[in-house]
Amino acid sequence: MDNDLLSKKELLELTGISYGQLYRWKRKGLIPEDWFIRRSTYTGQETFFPREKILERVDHIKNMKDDISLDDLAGVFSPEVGDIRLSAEQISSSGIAGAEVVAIYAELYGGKDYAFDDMVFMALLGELLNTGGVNRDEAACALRMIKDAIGSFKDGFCELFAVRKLGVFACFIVSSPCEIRFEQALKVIAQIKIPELKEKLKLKLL
Amino acid sequence: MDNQLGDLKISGTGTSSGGVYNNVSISGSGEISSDIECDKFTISGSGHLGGSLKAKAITISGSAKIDGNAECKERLKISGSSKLGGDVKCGEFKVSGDSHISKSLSADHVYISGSVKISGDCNAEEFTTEGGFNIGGLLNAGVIDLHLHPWGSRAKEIGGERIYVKRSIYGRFLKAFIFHNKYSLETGTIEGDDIYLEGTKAQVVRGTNIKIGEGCEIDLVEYTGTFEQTSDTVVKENRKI
Repeated sequence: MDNDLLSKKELLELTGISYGQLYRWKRKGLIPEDWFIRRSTYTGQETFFPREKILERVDHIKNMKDDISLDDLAGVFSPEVGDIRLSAEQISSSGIAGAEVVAIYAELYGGKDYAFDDMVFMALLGELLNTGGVNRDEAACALRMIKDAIGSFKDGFCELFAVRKLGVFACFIVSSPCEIRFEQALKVIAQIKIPELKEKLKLKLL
Repeated sequence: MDNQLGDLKISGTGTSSGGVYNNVSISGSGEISSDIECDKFTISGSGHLGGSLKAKAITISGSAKIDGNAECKERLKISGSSKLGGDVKCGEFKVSGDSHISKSLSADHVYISGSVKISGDCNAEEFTTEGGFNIGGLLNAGVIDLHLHPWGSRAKEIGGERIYVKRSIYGRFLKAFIFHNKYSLETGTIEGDDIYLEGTKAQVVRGTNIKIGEGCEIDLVEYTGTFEQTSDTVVKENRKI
């Protein structure tokens, strides 16, 4: 059996949740439809899940469900975003991106208050700069590229790679999940999953 | 919805091209060629909507065909017959006639006293029926309370918190004289926390507390809490996990 997959039975055993809870979460959209993988086994059809993703998600839901309603939680995990605009101060004070990062972003793109997408890009910029392996111009270049390209990925399901080889910086986006191999001399400076970044952001906004 | 919006009324034979209205009613035979958005949507004759429908309340008491998605904040009530070609989303879904949904249904409450065919999945907080259904995908609901007629309800899979399947008294009577279906409900898998079944044929039943009542044929029961079965029922194998 595939090691990356977890059967429904194992999932319930490992996490201590019940069938009812799992179905409720599915209904509320807390667990994406495409994580339910149907395989036939000797006992008939069984459902499997991507092991790491589902364990992380269940953990997430279990830790949070006391504080916020399932419907709010569904909003966190869904790729859709509501209408929110925050000012530069609000963004830095809610920990989405540091004041310097917001300032750099404002310098590049202007604007007084920012929509959710801008915040995603700010958080991305922050993460890139925080790796310490990317300078400001390179980060700006990565940002420009992802701003142009993200529209072609459905619901923003993609990952940003920032790499360097012999001192030369390059960046690219792949649709996730995917298999990717690099030559040895190439150093991956940052690998940022956009959906995860969005989830983290939404949690900070709740 | 704004008060200054006009109403659309078709009471003889009429056609319309759709749009945004306050109330829409068809009481003769009407044909609307594209999307409608309105407060109340009523068909009491026969109507065909070529696009999708968004309304606060939808009532169909004649016959209706809607090609696109139907979305309704409050109640969608069908007492005639309807064919819904898209996804259906509503607060309350109430059928006492006959309804066919070609995609999936999501509602807070579903009450069926007629018959419903859903080709996709059905999601609800509460799913109650005293009729019959045929669901091509998963029936997923918090509380599933079925009082089934003997003419064979089906679902590919059923999952939820509390699942009760009973034969209706009326159904037992009919079954004895007219119908020869052995089971009231046929399904592949049933998974839930508290499960009680009657007249059900299923391959696997999994859950916490499971009770199998009369007239069932279950290949495998897997439970973590308690398991009971009556004498006039078949459970080929049961396992405590």
